[in-house]
Amino acid sequence: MESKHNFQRPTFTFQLFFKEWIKSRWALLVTLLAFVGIITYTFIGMSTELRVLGAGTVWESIVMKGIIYFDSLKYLFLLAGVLLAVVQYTPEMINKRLKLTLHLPLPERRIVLSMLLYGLLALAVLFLLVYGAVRIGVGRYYPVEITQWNLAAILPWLWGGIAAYLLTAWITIEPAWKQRLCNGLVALCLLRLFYFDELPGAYAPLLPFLITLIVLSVSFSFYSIIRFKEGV
Amino acid sequence: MDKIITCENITHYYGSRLIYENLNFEVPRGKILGLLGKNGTGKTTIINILNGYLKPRAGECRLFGERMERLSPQTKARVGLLIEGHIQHSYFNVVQIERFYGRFFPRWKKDAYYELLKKLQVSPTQKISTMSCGQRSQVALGLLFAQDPELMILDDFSMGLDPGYRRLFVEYLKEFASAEGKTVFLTSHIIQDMELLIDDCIILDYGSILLHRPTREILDTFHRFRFRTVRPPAAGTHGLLRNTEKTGALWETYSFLSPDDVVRELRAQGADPEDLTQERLSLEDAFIGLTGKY
Amino acid sequence: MKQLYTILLILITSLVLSWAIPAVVRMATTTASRYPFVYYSVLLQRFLIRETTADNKLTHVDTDGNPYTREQFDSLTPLFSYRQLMLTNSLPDTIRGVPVDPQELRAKTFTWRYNPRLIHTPALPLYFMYESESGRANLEAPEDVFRLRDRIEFIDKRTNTVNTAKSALFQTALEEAGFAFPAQAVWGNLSAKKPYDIGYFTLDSRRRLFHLKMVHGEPYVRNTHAGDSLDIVHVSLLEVADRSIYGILVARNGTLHSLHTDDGYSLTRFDIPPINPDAHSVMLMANLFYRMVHVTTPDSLTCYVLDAATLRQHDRPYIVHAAANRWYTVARWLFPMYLTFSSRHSDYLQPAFKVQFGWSLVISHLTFFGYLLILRRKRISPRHLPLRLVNATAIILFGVPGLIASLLFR
Repeated sequence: MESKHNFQRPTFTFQLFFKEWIKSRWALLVTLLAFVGIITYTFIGMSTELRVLGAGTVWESIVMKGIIYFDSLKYLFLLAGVLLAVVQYTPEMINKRLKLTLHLPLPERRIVLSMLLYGLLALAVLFLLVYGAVRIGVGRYYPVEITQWNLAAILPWLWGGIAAYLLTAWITIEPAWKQRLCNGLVALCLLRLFYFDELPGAYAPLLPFLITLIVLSVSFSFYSIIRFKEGV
Repeated sequence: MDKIITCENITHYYGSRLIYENLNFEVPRGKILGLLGKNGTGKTTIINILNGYLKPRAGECRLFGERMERLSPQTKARVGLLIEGHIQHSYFNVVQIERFYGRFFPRWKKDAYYELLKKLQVSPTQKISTMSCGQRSQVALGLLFAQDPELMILDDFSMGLDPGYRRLFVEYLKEFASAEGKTVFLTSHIIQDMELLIDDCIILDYGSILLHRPTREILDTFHRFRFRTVRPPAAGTHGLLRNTEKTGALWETYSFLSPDDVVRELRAQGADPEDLTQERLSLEDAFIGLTGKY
Repeated sequence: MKQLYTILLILITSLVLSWAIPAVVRMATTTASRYPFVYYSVLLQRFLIRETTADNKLTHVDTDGNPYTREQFDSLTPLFSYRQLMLTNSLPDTIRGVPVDPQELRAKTFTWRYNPRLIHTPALPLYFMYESESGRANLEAPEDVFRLRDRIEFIDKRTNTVNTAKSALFQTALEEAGFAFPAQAVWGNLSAKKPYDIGYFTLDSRRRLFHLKMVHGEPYVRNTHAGDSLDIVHVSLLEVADRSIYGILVARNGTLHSLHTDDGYSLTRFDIPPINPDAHSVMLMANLFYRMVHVTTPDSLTCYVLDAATLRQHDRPYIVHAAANRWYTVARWLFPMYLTFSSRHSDYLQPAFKVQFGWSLVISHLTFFGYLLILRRKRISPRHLPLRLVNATAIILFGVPGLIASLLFR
């Protein structure tokens, strides 16, 4: 009986995705709407500015002062990451439902990785949409240099959103409040690294290190899971 | 005989408070075992240790021979879990949750789930979080039956249930357990229900196991004795007499001894019992007789 | 597995705290390290030093420590204070035998600043091509911007499309002048608020320096040959009032040169020791007679005074050493090693370890033994050896941040 039932089947990952989707679909919709709203608003502002002030003045101020358009997106990426992690993992922690999830007949690591993977994929899709919208939208009005200037400004914030997701997952799954608080302080320090006020493109040398850090921080949640299983 | 659960030398503390020291027990295949104990004796703690959600200071438990904190997927599929309060993934609705769990288990019995749900006044799209406690318990039970596990671990199944649902739960459980080779390990704070259900009984005291015997044996051999005496015996639990105390004009004590032996024991304690009567007990009364009222 | 996760957490937490905690301590302890204002007195033929005291008063002394009043300072530095002297009608008619008038003084006075951020900054690579000889008093903003890298292209602002005719015109001119694409660097002043336009200086792929501007709508391209002998890292275009120079070049080897407006784009090297273009800042104050060059290094300010015409040293340089910053004193005790991301010398964020082993290393060793004492005895078992090694590394190398990380994750 057991031999026929392969516990590594990929359909199980999709089953887990189904559970995560049920938990997070409304939050994802709200996040998507927030991004669509702010980006639409920004583009309307951009075209109004060109119409009212004239292309000459606007281009001049962009080229000379390096003005960017998407400041308002800055912390939205962060909020998106935090919100997704909260809606995914808080229901697991309420009444310790995570016990049921971990009791599913799959290797524990696979269960946790699937849940994290779902969140990362959801954010990746969302952020790629935003990235694409900015690219296409700015490209309609301005040369590629200005488009890239704006994208370079967004890039660290976007990765910050990914980091915020993983760190919030780590904090949420942590079973003890005191440790949760400590984790939160460490997470704040880590997230600060993505949000220095710098010129677009200033992150170029730092970003590979930050991305390495994001990859490593996937493991943080497993530390919380072990503590959960130890019943700390 | 197959041992489904074995616990060896479990010692656990919360902070510096001892919960138990060197706890040992085994559950053989095909038994329904009830874990009884007053509040705070660590019933849920044992369940958590069994499921691998609490690491004891020392000792280890095995389910189907595997260490509790490292169960293989195959073994997890053979164990059904009911968490205290009939907790389930309540953001699902009735249909979604069946679809979610169904694909994971090799022997999933969809019909068992829907049969149980037919009795409930719920629509297929009703979210579990909007259900009453009783309805939620039936969903949790239905999922357990559909999983068709070889071992069920139920933590306080009667919690928050009215008598009707409680009876329903017990009946279904009884039927489930009567099938070949099913093992059930459960706790409940309502002992009435368990009398009909459990084969074996573990009674926990603070720090250790007080008793681990077949339920039938307890009901047949453990009695309450009432008597008159001028000179008082030692109150409380001494030797083989448990919870001796004066209630009104009479004295009472509990014991596994025969009436003659009780009289002998009382005399040894300095009393002069007269008019000794022996009473058969319900499981609940027996539990109180063993552990005291407070 | 838990040990591995714990190790990762301790390492990452140590790293981030070894940035965060020193950054906070630095904010709390750092003291201003401003240098005094130093100016060469043409009349005294020595440096005068103006300093703001702690109670916000100005003091003026010369290099021997002789005090001067503010009025004395003004009259001793007429090339600097000429506007003040005009106000009090005390501007002399001649200075060192040379007749002076305010207009000429103003025309010969300019300042120039260099700091390493100029060559380490992300830039938006689009530029404006002004008409250099428009015949108008004010520069007029062009209708397009241009990019210059793999080719030169003018992009119309209103339509966001390439002006192919104009682009081809300039592309051909660059190619005919021997410019090898892609361009490595482009320097110019984008601002329209300048007295006239010099255009741009650009390095081609062989690091030769070309001059590019627009005259009567036509491209003007010349190889300056300044790049033949120098590896140029920065060019500042100055648009000085007397039009004597285009600007100043900074070479990779740290020499500074002024680029003259004669036909041959001749260079004159500033007679000062080479600077480090990646770490030193320079301020040039030019007047009728002298070029004062102030070179700021992390621990001192050196003031050179050069003759305006020859750029040879006119007097011995004057050196001011930096006052000790309390932050450095604190850091030497607390942090054997800490992490920074930003630098005064670059607009880029880059992780860099600052290492200052010394007493802090002794203290961090003691801290580690203290940590071992806090641990219960049974936790120091061979099974935990990798974790303890990481604890040791984190605490000994980073000090307090490593200790906090080790306490948070056990």
